[in-house]
Amino acid sequence: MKGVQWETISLEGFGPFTTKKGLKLEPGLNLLIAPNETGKSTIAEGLRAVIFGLPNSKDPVGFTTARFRSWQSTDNFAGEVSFMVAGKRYRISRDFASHRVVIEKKVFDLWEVQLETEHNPAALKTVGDYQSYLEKLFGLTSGKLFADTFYLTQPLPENDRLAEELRILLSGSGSDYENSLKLLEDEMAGFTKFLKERGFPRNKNNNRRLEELEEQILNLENGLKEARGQVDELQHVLVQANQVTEDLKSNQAQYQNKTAFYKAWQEGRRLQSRYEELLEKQVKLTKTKEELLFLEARINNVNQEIAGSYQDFLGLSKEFPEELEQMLKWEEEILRLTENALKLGKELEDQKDSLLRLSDRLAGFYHFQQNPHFVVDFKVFKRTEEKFLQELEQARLLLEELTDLRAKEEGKERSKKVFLKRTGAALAAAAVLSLLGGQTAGVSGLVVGFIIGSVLGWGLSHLIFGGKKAALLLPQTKSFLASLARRDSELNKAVKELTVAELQALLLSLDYLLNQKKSSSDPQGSYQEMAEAERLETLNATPLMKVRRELIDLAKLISPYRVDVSVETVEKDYLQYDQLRRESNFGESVAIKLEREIFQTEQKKKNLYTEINLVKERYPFLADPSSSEAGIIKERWQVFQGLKNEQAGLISEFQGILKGAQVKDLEELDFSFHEVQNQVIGIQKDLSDLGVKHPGLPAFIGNKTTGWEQLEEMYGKLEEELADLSLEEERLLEKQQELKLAQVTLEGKGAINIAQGEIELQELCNIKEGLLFELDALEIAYRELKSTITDYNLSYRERLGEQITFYFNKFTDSSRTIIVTENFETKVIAAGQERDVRQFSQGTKDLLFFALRLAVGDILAEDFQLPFVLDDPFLNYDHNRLQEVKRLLQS
Amino acid sequence: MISFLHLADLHLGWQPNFSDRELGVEIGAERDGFLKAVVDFALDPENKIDLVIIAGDLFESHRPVAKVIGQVMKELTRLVRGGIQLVTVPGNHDEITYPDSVYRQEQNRWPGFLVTNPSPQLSFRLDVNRKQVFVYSLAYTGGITGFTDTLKDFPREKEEGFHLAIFHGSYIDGDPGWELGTRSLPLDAKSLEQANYDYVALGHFHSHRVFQFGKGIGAYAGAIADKGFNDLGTGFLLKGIWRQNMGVQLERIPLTVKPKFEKLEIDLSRFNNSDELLSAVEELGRPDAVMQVELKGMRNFLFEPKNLRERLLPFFRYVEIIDQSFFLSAAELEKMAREKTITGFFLRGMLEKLKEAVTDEQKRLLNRALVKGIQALKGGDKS
Repeated sequence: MKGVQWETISLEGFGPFTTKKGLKLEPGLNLLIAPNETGKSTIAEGLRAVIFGLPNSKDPVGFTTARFRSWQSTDNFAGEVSFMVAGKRYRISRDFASHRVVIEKKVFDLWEVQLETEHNPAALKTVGDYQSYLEKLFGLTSGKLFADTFYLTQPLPENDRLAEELRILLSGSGSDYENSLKLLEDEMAGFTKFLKERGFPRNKNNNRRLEELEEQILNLENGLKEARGQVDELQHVLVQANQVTEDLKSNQAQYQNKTAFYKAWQEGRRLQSRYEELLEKQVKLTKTKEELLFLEARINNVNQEIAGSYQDFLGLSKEFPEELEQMLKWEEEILRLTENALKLGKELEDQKDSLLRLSDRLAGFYHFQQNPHFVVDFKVFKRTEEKFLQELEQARLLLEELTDLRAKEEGKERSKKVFLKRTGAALAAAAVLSLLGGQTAGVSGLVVGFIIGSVLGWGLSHLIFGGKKAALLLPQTKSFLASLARRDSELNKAVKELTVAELQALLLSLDYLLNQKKSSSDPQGSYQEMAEAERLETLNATPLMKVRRELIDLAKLISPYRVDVSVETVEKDYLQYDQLRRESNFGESVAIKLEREIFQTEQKKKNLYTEINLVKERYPFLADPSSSEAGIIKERWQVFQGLKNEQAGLISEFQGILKGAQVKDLEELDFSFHEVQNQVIGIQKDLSDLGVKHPGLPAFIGNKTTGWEQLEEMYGKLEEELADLSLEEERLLEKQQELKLAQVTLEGKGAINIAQGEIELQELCNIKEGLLFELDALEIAYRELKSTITDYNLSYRERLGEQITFYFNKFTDSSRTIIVTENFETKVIAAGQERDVRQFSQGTKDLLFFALRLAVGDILAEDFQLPFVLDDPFLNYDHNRLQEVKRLLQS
Repeated sequence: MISFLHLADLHLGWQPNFSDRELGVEIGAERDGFLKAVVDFALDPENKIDLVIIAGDLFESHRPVAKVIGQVMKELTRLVRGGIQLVTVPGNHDEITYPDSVYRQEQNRWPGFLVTNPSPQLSFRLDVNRKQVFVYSLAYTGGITGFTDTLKDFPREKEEGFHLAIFHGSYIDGDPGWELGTRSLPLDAKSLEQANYDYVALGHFHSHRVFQFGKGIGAYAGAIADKGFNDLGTGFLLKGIWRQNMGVQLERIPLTVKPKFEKLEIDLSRFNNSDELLSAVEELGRPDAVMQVELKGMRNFLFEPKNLRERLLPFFRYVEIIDQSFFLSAAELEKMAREKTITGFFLRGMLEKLKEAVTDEQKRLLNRALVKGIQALKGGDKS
């Protein structure tokens, strides 16, 4: 080991030393104490820079010219270091800007240049000589190694970074080798995910550049393969398509030729058919012409007949037939009306006869006609008479009773007589008046008469027999008399004037009358007789005469019936009368109606004649009396119409035939005939031309039997051939479509350009090759570094531990063992037990690191020894520790 | 006498595959402009060009963009209207096989004569300067053009005249050393020689070469324009003059084509660090330069080419870096390897491997591994 002693160091334009500053160092421990920022560390850096060089760089942080060149303007940027090696003094001068370096050796007090050269620590050239000299002097050429071994900077690392710091020192590169491995791994991982095959525990997940590139290459290769296939296949398809197109053209040409021949054949058949049709048409036209001529003759005959016999009908208005028909109807109506009038006249006569008979019969019932209340009157008379008879009977019975009473009661005879008299008077008066009333006013007259008579009778008796006596009479009689008296006063004074004698006579008359009445065979006559008797006995009595007249009148009212005729008979007669009267009335109304109808019929006939005349006035030929009758006219008209219809039918038939023949007239028919004739000739020519144009076609006009079936067979075969060609065309078109589809499908795939793709593929392969190269390089580097670390570990770890133990025990005056782990972590074994470094005081830890640095220096600078430069590494040391270190360093 | 221009492999529509796509498009468009210069040359009466032959790969792709088609049609139409006969043969890049091939799409409008027959035959019979020109050619059509191994069927008419064959294929006298696909249309040398054409205008290979075919000659015109850094153009037009009974004489007419793809090699051994290298390359920069810088030699500093490129881009129109340099010499590395650090151990191990390496490729790989290791030990790429 060579001993080196630093003697002087001077710097100029270096860091804070703008002007040249020097420092002399003594053997042994040198302490530089100065305030901060005065250049203590710079001197240490300057020592390294002068000896090992200062690389040019713009990096202001690293160990570079940019960092140490004084920022104040100075031309000089240099340094000088003198030192002793093996008893000989040397001096190294360096210009940092030009990298000029001079090594001098002091020989007899004179500096002798040993080497003057350019030494750029970052360059290759001229490095060899200088570095060789350095190695000879110091045993090392690397400034970095120098810094890592003999140059401790401030501050010392923290405890937990000891291992990292150790690894950095051992790396010799300024970086933790673990990080270096990680960097290599990361860089490789950036290239590929398949790290396992390159010595790593596992692969990464996602594709990296290499895999992406390989995928790109694979895709491109596939694309190229596909493109080659596609374009080749496409060409095959196109070739096939061309072939199909050619086949199709050929097929279509054949088809067209065959079709042309077939069409010619068809045309021939058509012409032949047409030819036959025309021949038929010719025959038809001839026949048509004959028919038309015949019809024409018939039409002429009809025309002549019309012109000769029915000239007058010609030119008539179109309303004529209708008017004629109407006229006929009118005439028929007149006839019908005439017949009806006759019928009605007869009915009228019959009705009148019937009425006469009814009139005769009604004459027998004149009393009903004269007195519409005859039946009532008769009924009054009958009731009065019946009552009168009843009263008379009662009066008689009273008289008989009075007679009996007179005999029994004499004292009372008078009253009785009076009463009887009064009663009798009343009854007599009533009876008389009833009779009178019945004669004058029927039954009512009888009743009135009876009442009046009763009153009168009672009044008379009062007057006659005295009031007091009369008051003894029956209350009825008294009432009757009172009433009679009122009536008497109102109606007839003559009654009042009747004397008792007259009343008595009256009673007698009544009695007589009753007797007469009952026994008379002529009731009518009895009343007459009574009247006569009355007249005879009471001729001078005016009231009686009046009553008598009324009675007579009453009797007259029921004339011509006898008073003894029953009411039922009268009613029956009346019903008969009423029936007859009704019949008569109805007959009269019927007669009147018939007369009216007859009149109306005559009016209608008259109107119809007027209408007929108006029609006739419009058509002068109807003026002829011989032909003016509508029926005759109609017959003529019908004949005329028949002729006209025949004429129209013939013309229609004529026209129909013309139309059927599709001509306007005979002339055109002739023309048509000639035209058909020409067409026949034309067809003959067309067929001839067709045969010339299409050799092989059969002769369509002629004898069909000769080879015709064979020709038809050929025709059928031709059709089959055409069908086959058509099918073939369909097949080819289908094939063509398939190929087109295949073509567009292939075209749609958009094949990549093969030539370009191949170039691109080559480029990608080149890139891949480059990547693989890098990857291989990284793998080699990784494997080598890993291996190096293992080897280094095996070679130096144990020894490093021993050296650290040596220094540490020396510093601490202890006997602890320091172990360095595989990861270059340090462990302290004290009293057989492992202690965590963190358990130590900071000063102890600093000592441990210091020991570690010294041990590293021993390891790295195994064959050489340089003075240590300690730049505040003991910042954290206490006084005692510092003293201890000082002692150690001095020793 | 018939003067003709033999063109091939123009690859119009090509665009460099730059990461800056816009720049790629721009440079491609600029490159396409050289067709106009060619047409101008042909139309110049002084040059007396009668016939222009395009022996394939007029376009880069069978489906160039419409703008490129429009420009090409315009220029070729101008050529034909100028009275110059034009024969165009599709190549493998612009193969007519594709259904959407520009030649299929523009077939009816194509100026001059377009070869479409898929098999070798007399494609056209031209009358140029009252001389018969028999044009034999084919347009390779996948799936139709049929041959085994090499194309041997070369027809030739017996009439007098200029018998001109135009093929876009691979003519290699002998074993090419690689497999030739049908699309590269391998041409049988013996058959071609026996065909006895006056001139065989070839396309496909981008380098200019001339062959003797019996009494006649043949040539690859070569690509005039650069097509990237690895496919630099010839920079000249190939003009031919045919004379009756005298055959064809060829002449190279220089033609400036832009942009020019430049390649530069730099030996890193003269630089001390990446800063010096950067400064040196910066000085070479030009705003119009499209350059590939290849770094070679030994260096004692670490750097990453991609970072270097990023730093250089502002000084060039386009620049790319190819690093073929080696990190430190073995001797230097050995010195460093003496350190008793892990770095020293690592270097020793790598140097042993380098000593054992046989091939340059192995050495290059190990050197790269060494660099990567050192970079990692130094805490990663900081250059």
